[in-house]
Amino acid sequence: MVSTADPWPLVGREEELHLLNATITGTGGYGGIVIAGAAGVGKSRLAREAITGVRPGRWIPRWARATASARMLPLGAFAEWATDTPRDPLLVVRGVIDHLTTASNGAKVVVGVDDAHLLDDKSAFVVLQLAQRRLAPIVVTVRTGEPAPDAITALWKDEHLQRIELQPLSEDETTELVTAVLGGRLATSAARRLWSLTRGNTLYLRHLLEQELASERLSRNHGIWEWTGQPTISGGLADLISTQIGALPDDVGTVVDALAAAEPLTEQMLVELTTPDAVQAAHSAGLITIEADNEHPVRLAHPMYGEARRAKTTPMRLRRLRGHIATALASAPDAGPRDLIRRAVLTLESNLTPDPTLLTNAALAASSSLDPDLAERLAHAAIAGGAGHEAKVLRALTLGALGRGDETEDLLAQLTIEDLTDDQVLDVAALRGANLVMLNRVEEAESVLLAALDAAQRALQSPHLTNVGEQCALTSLIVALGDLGKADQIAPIAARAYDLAAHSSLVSSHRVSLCDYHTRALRLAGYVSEADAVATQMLHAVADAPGWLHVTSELLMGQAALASGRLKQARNRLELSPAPKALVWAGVAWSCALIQARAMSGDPAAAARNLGYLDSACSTGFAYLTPEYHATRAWVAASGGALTHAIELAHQGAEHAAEHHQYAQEVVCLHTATRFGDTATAHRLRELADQVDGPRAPAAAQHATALAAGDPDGILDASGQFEDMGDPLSAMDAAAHAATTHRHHGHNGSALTAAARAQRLADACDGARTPALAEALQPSPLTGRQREIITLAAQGLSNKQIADRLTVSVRTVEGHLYRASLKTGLAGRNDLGATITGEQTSARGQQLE
Amino acid sequence: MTTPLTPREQALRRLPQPYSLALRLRDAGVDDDQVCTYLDIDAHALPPLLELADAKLTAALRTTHPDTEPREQP
Repeated sequence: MVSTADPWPLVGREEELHLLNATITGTGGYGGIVIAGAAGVGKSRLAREAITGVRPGRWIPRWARATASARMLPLGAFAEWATDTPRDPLLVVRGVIDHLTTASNGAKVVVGVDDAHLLDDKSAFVVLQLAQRRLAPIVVTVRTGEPAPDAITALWKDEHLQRIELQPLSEDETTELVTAVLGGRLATSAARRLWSLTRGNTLYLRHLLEQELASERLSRNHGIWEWTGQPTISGGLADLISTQIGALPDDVGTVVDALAAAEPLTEQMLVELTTPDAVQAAHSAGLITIEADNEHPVRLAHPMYGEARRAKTTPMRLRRLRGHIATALASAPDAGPRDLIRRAVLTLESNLTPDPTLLTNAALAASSSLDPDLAERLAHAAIAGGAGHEAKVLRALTLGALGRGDETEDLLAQLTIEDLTDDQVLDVAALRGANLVMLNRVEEAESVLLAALDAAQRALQSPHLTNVGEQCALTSLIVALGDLGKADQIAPIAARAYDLAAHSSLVSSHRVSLCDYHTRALRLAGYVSEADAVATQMLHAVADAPGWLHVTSELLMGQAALASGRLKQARNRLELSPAPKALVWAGVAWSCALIQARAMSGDPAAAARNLGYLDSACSTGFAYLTPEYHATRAWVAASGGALTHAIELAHQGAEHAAEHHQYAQEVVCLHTATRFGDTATAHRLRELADQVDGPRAPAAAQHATALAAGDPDGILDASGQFEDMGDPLSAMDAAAHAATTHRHHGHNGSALTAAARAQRLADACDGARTPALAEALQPSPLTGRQREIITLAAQGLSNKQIADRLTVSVRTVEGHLYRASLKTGLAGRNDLGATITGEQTSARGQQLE
Repeated sequence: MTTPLTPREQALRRLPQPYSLALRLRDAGVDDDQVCTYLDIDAHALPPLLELADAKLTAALRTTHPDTEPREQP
């Protein structure tokens, strides 16, 4: 259980501590240091840590804390060191200084003074004396912007002490701190949101974390802390912030409220919404910042100020305020797309009547800003308000981008019965075609892929094709050609599609899904390095785009890392990003990649964890990824040692792919079975190698053919081909098969060499562990079937259960176990299992019967 | 598609804004007085702020990889 009540570790302050230590020990040339900073930034904690951490034993820390109440008393902050008989005030000060600076056993004293801006004059004089006469190094904290006694400002004005402006934690430091406090890794999106809301202010961070933990919106899921839902500002935090920003006059409060509703606003607009004096007062109080740009954009000085005010404002007042701002934005000249979107969103959430034209235009702008969630919401509202064909097409497009294929199809089917122009008919047809490819609805045509290919090629020849129709046709082509095994034809089509997405607002949000189809086609063909480069480029291209695009670009990179054998990176990227479940295609792809990465890392328990979600996602009719779904299940079975079942699952994927003309996916499924030791794939893979573009199919055919023939040199040749194409995991499995085959031939030297190659490749893949590798590295007198039965027995399955799973008789299972026992001299099921898993067993193994 | 950001630029974007702004202004050759005005800090605080900013940037560069995505501009 997490307790945030304990003192938090000091994280992200190494550089500051280094500077403080140098100053205290005299190497900095000053008599001490003033740490200035905003409330909650961590000044006091840093100062305490600095004075207590300077060579304990040789340095004695003395800590004084100024408060508003102690200020009423002369020397209030140093009462602990004051003498009782204050006959001569100067003697009292001297007495305090003497007591403060005297230490026994030759130790030196370092003095810390917290919140020195609150010191009474006499206490401030003591501090100045310490600094002027260099009686002891001092570390003083002051709050930036607060008036302080002259003696305190003289500390840095007269250069007795160095002054640093302590800044909040950076994004990395904030994540590191929260990770240390929670005792576990934080999902990327959660880390980013925590930082963007608190901006590294540890006081706000602490309150927010306590609040979100208590509400269970921040919770641990399989070891990763995820943050779901919208954070609410607790009464305690709102009060804290209110105290910090002080009691605001109504007009100043309205300035903060207006920015809380819509930030940034130009200085001119804010003045019109409130008054010049109120804006000036808010600026003087440090509540807002005004930038020096052309229109002087005004923002809140801290995001939490807005959150705190929102928490205490009535919804009706907020709606009214949004209405005022939307009206003001409407009258602003030359409003760009950003203001257009803001105006539409504010209108929707205000007391104004929405204008369908405004909403349609804003939906278009949101789509071109790569925010399909918002675009869909605005288009939906526009249609509800009476908008026409353009809004409907836009909504269909954004629904498609979000992976909501069934809703897209319903909307498009409804559109076809409306009175459409020729251009509109083409658009709708192209949209439906692209959507049906993703849904892979076999009932719509004998071969969806071939029909889509034909329709797309015809559509692209039409002179009336709009951007929407063109993009849909190009997407259909990329998917169809990739699956049909015609990846060599894709490059010019993809270039045209990216170019179109970059220049057309309507289709720009499709570029990430486009990149997914494109890179998938490249990987299936075996152009792994090229796919990696394309995914990286897309990651950078959408870096500043909002919301789900970050998650899906992480997905693209996770897939690319998996294909290239960077298992650790693949797991990190995918585990730290939440499953993009709102996007069905992305959710399925995410689960497949993560599960495979875990299975190939030799972690069957973790691999099996997301199977439930994958099963339900794949049953929703998004069938384009069905072969990969079967292959993923095969990997889970294989990592658990059930190779026969794994091979069956891989063949199910291959059969589905063959039925739907997804030849490139069929290659991968059949090669997956080959990697599990199946020798029955060679014939079909050789056929596919003649018709599927790219280096993967020939390499897979070579692997399968040589494995079936017991030809280790042929297998090693395939291993080299896989390594050359940038797929070290397949290369590793092939090398492992070569080692095992050499060993069966009694060529132990060659076996060792091939096993070393497999091990090298496994190391390069962050310690990959597959069944082929395990067999190659663990020479065993057992046959593959005996190894499989032992593995299942060690997992606790009875002989009957094993027999059922492998479709053999119980007697056969008993026979295999008996012969395995004779070969190894081991009798217990667990002891036999340990020969494969390498795990320690209890002293007395469970008997075979 | 855009050109990938340099590791330095990526690291700068992950620092608190006063540090990244101070380093950018210094790199652009802006006078110390003007930097202090922009940052709204006392002139005495500028040298240690730049010293800390440099140290923070060095630390951020250690955790910046070429394939790390750029983040929101602070």
